Amino acid sequence: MLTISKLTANYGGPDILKNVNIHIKEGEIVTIIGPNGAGKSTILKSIFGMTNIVEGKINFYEENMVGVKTADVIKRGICYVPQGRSVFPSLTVEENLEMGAFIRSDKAQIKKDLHYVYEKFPKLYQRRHQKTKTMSGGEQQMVSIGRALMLQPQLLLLDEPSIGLAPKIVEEVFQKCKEIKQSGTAVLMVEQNANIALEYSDRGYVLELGENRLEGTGKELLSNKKVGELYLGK
Amino acid sequence: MLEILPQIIWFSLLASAIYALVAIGLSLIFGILEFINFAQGDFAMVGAYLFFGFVIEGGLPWWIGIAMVVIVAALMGVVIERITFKPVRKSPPFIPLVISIGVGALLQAIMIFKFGGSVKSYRTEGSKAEVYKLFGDTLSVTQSQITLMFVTAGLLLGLYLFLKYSKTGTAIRAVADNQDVAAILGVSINKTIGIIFAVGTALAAVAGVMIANEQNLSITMGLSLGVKAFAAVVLGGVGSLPGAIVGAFIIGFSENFIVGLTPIPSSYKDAIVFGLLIIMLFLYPNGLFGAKAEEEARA
Repeated sequence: MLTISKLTANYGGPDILKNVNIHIKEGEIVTIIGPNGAGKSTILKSIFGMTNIVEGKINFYEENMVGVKTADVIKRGICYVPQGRSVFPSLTVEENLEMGAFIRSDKAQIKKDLHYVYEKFPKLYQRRHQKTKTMSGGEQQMVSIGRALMLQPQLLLLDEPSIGLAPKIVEEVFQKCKEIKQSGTAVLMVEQNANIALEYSDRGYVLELGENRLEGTGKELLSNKKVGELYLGK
Repeated sequence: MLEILPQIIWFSLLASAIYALVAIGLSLIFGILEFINFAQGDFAMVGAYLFFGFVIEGGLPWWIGIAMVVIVAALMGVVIERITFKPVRKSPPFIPLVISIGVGALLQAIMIFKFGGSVKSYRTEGSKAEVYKLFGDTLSVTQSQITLMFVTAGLLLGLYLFLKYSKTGTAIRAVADNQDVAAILGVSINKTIGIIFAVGTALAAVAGVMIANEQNLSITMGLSLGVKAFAAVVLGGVGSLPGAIVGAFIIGFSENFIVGLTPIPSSYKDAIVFGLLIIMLFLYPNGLFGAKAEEEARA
């Protein structure tokens, strides 16, 4: 569904990504791993038009995505959960979720979207009138993911969803990713926590210094000796 | 002593309403752009002169005058933001702050050019204000004061409902919380900031009309107003809208009570405000509501 080919991109300085190739098919969870500064997040930002793309293509179902406005990227079915605590802390859970459907004006449809997200995250329904700043890091991450699901996207981009979370909560987040995949949304994520991320992934890419190093199924990468030494702490 | 109390309370309310209108604009702008807009008091001054132009010189009915002031001021806010603040949005906050001082000076110059430098007044020769005597003559209230209080209350309530329940209002709060995330959800940051300036400028302009209704108009009237609104914002906790309103009431009441009940002359009003600000900042370094917000975040 999404094909990134020969992508070279920067933020106005030196190139962060060099000739990167990545693709994701429907119904997949794909993880990009690699050391800090490898340019993992830059790939996601490039899809959202937040980088300066020097060369290469980003195609979503044959449609060119380079130079497309953010609102149009969302409309075509890609939603994005940025790194860190990306909730609106002074807004309630429900207001946060409603912001996920900002580009919609049909109120009845927004109700349906809310219903869809609450079905997936029953805990959020219980706490829908609570301000998100009073919630734990894990709960806030669920709000961010729930917000990105409001438009029932075809592809969900997650930037380090496990960062700063306790191991038990990390497991919960990845379990949610699996559920999201089963309901028809493909997931492309960037992770530092390579071990567990690859366990839940269908395929993975290893990125180093802005270039492709390795790729394979989650299992292949987990058992790859070089990957094990470099990124899995084996 | 007691017989002047109702009058002092009424004056305090009037002053608080005026400061609140200016302070809210400051707080809204600070909440999103993180700079103190020193032209906010001058927005009020422009509002006062616009009303003078429309109603006293132009002869329009007062309510059309107020509506025109709100519309023209809102447009002015949008245009000023586009031309002066937008190009430096990514700069450190002291740059727009300095620009805002320049904007204030420019507005003063334009108003002198248009209306002249002499002191003006809404009270025209021979006109008599309708005055109500209440509490056995201890409180006198003019018709225009009551009207303006209602206008203010209506504006504040409207703003509250707008921010709390409308889609655009929610988006404004979201942008204040996290601009980058709001942008990836498809919120137009430019449009949101434009709306903030329109609202902030219009509210300040109404405050200007209120103050000019009590005192004379002068080109420099915005200075002390802007400074007091700034004090209200800091007192209440920077970035908190309820804080800005509470801060405005603390300042409005304390300056009028101290001047009314002690022998301190009214020319010391500004000194009182700053004395108060310094004391409060010793006690609550984050402002009244800022501290609370921080505790909540920690919990």
